[in-house]
Amino acid sequence: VNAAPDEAEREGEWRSALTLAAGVLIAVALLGTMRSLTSERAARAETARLTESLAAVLSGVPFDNAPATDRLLVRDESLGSPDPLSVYRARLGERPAAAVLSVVAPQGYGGAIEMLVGVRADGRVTAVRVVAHRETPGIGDRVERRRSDWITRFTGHSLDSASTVRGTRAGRPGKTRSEGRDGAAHGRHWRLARDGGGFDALSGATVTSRAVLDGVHRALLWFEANRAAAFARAEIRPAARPADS
Amino acid sequence: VSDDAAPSLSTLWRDGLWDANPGLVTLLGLCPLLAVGNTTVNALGLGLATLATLLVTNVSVSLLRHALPSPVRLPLHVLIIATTVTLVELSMRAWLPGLHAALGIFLPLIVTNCLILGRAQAFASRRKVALAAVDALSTGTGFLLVLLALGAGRELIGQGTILAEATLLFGDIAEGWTWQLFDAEHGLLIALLPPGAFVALGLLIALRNLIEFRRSPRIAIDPRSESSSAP
Repeated sequence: VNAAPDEAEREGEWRSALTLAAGVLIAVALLGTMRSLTSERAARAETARLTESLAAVLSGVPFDNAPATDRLLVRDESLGSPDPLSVYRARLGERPAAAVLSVVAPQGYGGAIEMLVGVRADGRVTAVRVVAHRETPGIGDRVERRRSDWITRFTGHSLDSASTVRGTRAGRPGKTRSEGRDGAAHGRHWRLARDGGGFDALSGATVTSRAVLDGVHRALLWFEANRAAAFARAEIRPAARPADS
Repeated sequence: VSDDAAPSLSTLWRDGLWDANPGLVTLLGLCPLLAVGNTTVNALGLGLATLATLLVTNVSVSLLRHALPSPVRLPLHVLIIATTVTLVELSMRAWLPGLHAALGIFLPLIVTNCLILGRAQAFASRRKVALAAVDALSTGTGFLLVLLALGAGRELIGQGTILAEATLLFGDIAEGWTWQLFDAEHGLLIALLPPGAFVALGLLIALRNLIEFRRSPRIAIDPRSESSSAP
């Protein structure tokens, strides 16, 4: 007697389950199709954006390759992130012209600040641009180039030239290059003026400025230590096959 | 499932734009409204994305209203919404990458906008496709207009511009569309910050209530008649 309602109920359950499964399958199919339709265009848009940012960071540096594709992945916590970060290489002929390091400044006021730091082969900063941040609108967001020119003050500085700048500011003769190369010396000068260093902070945004400055400094230190490797290594490829086996 | 008595088209439009406006009256989907509505371009981008999502979900939910067994109707509606939002997000990443980056997490979060599930459950799952589409258009436009008013107002007060960075949404033709009233330095910073969003939305709601109050004199209450009618 009970069999009929039971059966109807079970049939209802089956129908529900099958409809749900069919729905999921259709959704997956739709999303997969859309993804494959747009992935190429999205990648191209991404590359275009990257090329544009790289061109901004590399302005004034002659190069004839495509840095956006001449990329090296570096996993080094001193660049501010436990994840691998990109180093883009600009070359003129086969000679290294400049490298653009992606650097993360984790100590921003609103969290991590992502930057691109361009460094000439001789160690001078070409330009710095913030590419992503969550700093306060109107205060910390003036690290963006379109909001103020604060970020351009790093251009032309290197690990040693900052000490020269500081020497000049204090009315002392600039230090020689060899003195400036001393780790402790440049460590002191790559600080905000209020911390005894050579760079003025954005007014009202000391934390943000300190984070950015520190990021640029770490990028320069990394570049100094890895200069040869930064340009020498080939683009990351899948593991090379053994040559003769 | 039988379709309820159909509301007229003019009622649908009135509800969406004014009488039951999601941003000003039913107060649905406030999170993106408050978070992203700080510039005209962001507001327009998110508003259009929400409108497109709402249109697609309302139409699909209505088309499938007799096919979905009631025990799994809710999960399927959520699945439809999540899929639609992801489709919108994928296409935006390909065709409007700048805006995609500017909207950030709030684009995928359209899934959690209760406005969309609300319209699917309360309206589209019981109505014919054409009505569901009109409902989506009116509700979505109502949401878009509030978002736009909020975004333009906050951008103007906060940084003195309207349509800054229009190129993110419209491409290179929009170069020079930005209208600058005064220098960004003289802006009232709080308008761009989250508290400014709450204040601005409060003012908009107050304005709507004021207009509504002025339009309907029948609400006027004589204090004497009120006291005399008390038991």
